[in-house]
Amino acid sequence: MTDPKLFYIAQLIEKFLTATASLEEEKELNEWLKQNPENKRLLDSFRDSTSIKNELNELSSFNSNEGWVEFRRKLRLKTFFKWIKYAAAAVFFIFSIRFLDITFNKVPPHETVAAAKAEVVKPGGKIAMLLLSDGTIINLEDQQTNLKEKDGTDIKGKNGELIYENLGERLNVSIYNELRVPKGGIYHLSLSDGTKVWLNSMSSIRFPVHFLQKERKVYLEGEAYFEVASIKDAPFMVEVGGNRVEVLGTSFNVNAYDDITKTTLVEGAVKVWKKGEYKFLKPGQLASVSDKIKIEQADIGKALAWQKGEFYFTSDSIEEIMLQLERWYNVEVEIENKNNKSTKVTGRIKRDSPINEVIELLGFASNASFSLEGNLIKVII
Amino acid sequence: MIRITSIEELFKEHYASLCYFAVKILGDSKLSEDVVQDAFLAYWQKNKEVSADSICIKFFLYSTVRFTCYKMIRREKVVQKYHRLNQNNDIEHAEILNEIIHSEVLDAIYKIMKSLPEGCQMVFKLGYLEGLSNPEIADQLGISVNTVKTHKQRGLRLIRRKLNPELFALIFI
Repeated sequence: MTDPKLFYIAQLIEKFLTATASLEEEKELNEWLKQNPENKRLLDSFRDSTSIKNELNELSSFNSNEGWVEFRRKLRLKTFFKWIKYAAAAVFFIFSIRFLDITFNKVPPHETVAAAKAEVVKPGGKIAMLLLSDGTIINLEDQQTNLKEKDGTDIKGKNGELIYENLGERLNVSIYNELRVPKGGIYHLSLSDGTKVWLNSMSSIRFPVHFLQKERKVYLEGEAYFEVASIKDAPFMVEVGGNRVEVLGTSFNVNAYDDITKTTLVEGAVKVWKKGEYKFLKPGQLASVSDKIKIEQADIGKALAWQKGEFYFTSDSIEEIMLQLERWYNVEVEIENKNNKSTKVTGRIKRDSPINEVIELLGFASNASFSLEGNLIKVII
Repeated sequence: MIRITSIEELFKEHYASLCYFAVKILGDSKLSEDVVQDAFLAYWQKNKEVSADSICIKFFLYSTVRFTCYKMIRREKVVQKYHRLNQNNDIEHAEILNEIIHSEVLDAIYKIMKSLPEGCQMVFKLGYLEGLSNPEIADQLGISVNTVKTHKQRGLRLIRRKLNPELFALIFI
């Protein structure tokens, strides 16, 4: 008997005890009984009323609700220690900014209709568009780019990364470029001051090619992760959603896909502004800005998961999850939730997983049903 | 492999049977609970690698619990109480597998009992598992003896439908 087969035997015994075993199943059970005298002894033990009573008593003494509380406590401790190691190593800022949807999407060639359906939806890739100061739009997509802006600055790009270097002459007025990442895209940018930015799908950043003023200011929509180069007396500002995040030299994530801008600080210090007021953010904290500024404990792993190539769901609703999938896979989603049920899902998936695998697992984990038709995901909760 | 699941549901579904299995080896219930919680932690961390198949999950959990118990015993941190581990690996292996089956079936019976409506369930637990008499049950629950009898009859009718008459007769009459 192979090891996992033992669960099948358990099922056979249960069926026997509940008088729901088929003839075939009873036969199989008898085969098993013959294999070893121990097996017969096991079955007979369920017919001994005294021993069953004692055993049920013992089994019932284990309280799974209390056990769950203990488990959560142990898990929190483990996560806390993991975070401490992480905070010491990395410092990144992420900003998100609302981004206008740019319908730029590559459809790969396909041979059969069936293959076409499966291939139309692909996980995100390194796609972006660069808008230069003179209005020219450059498509950046895994090809090499070598440009010069009108002030002479070199713009080099390849493999999903764009680097600004060899600054040209200082002009009197700042010239701006804008990097736009569409649905299904992700991109890495190095600014002329050495600051590194990672942009998630449906995001854009507008920045001066050459930082002329003492204040280094960029404009963000959507979501981005920053590693700001520390320059003395030159604070870095991110304008997002009409408000501002003032950076004092470190790493943070900003997520502003909806009306609430969420800034998660990994390392360093940040000032979050709303109208005339500000609050300081400490590493490991999250500032949520809507009509006011709210500071709370952050889940760094969760905030940075996208930049590490993962989706990380922690009791997230199906609706929230589908929003993320929509942006990354560039699909349309229709959700039907007649009974207004709230379904929470927890888990991790790599962002390079094919969409059908993702929804298959969501279906398994959540009891909602998912179907993929071409470019549309239909969900029934 | 990729995996998404509700770890809480998984935990509550299998916790008791795993603890029961562990206590048969270790003999200490607090320690058993620790071992089982740690097994779920190990599962949680390996989330990416354990298959989406519920049998594989159960097998992973039982295996983790089993080997943690062995480690504890070998380090002589725990005195073997109920289950003696033999030098002969084959026998030990077969016996342990049967212990797993035993836990699973017992848990299934327990869940059938738990599926009874609450009033009946309490009466059953006190009457059949703890062996209290009807007046004693009535006293503890603050209900009349007649109500106790009604609950018993109703519970018996419900259980009769779910359990094999032979087993039913032995346990509940």
